[in-house]
Amino acid sequence: MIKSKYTNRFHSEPQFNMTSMIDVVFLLIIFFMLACQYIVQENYKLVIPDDCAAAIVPENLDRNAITVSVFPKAASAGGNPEVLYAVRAREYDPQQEVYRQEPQRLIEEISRQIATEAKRKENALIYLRADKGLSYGQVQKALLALSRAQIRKVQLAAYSGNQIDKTGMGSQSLE
Amino acid sequence: MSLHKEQSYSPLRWQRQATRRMQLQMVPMIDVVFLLLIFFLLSANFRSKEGFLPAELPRQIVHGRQMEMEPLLLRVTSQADGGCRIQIGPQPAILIEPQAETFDALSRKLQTVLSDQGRRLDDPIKILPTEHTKWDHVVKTYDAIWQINAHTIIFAAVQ
Repeated sequence: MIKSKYTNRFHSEPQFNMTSMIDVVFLLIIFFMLACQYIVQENYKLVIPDDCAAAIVPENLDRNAITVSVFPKAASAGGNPEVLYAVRAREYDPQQEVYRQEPQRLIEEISRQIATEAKRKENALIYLRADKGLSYGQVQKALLALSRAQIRKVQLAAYSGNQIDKTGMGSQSLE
Repeated sequence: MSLHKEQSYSPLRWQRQATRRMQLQMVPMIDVVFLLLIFFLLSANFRSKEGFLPAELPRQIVHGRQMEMEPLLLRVTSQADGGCRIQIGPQPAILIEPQAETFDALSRKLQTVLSDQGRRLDDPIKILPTEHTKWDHVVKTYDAIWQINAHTIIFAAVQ
């Protein structure tokens, strides 16, 4: 009788302790949720100019800032890639039939959107994020739209150091 | 026997059975938690900390700004080899090699030109790129001007 009791104790099925694992998983979820800065789909993947010594790196990104992005279309390739414009998360494609027929309409609509966003947020900073591979002729449309929206102060996005140093995981921020 | 049967269906026993059935199902919860974790890891968009160059735009970029002083013109052209050609006023052009990381040569040359022409740092400097000049070269030119503390910089409109 005693022997069988001992056998049961030592041959009990091994159990996976789930509680501690759930603790760790929840901790990770809470960490990611708190560390994330949610920007409404305006974090377009583009390569901004680097090695600009005068570029000021702010401690924290201004959440009220209005981001105007100019970036190449993913599908386009070659010397002068097709470009897309975005005011925050609202995209504008110059290849659309409406804008092809009336090129001025593109600048007008972008400037109207910028003006609307600027009215919503008083003294909002304007970030101009443009891909470094694009031509001035392409980025100029965004500058014209900003000027037409009566925006005077613009922050041109650029890295202060080399971009290779900046892409390391250590110096990245999650946004 | 019938009494025994009655005892087995006593409300107390039925309640105990119900309590035993109330268990927290951990497996689906862990599934959901892992799903959330993977979703956050995949949907997170990593972006390195960006810097910003403050710029001021004129009221009307198209027609230019009425200036008391004629702005110093910087003609910026991108070369086919990836290099950049910058001409300060009527001066001979500076060629920036494609491998060059900074436009320090431009900053130095610009300081010399400004002092030679008796211009002040708050006098306007106009960047005149071509339509095909790379934005990278335009921003680096802007940065080189900003580094010598000349902050009245105008972007010229090109047709």
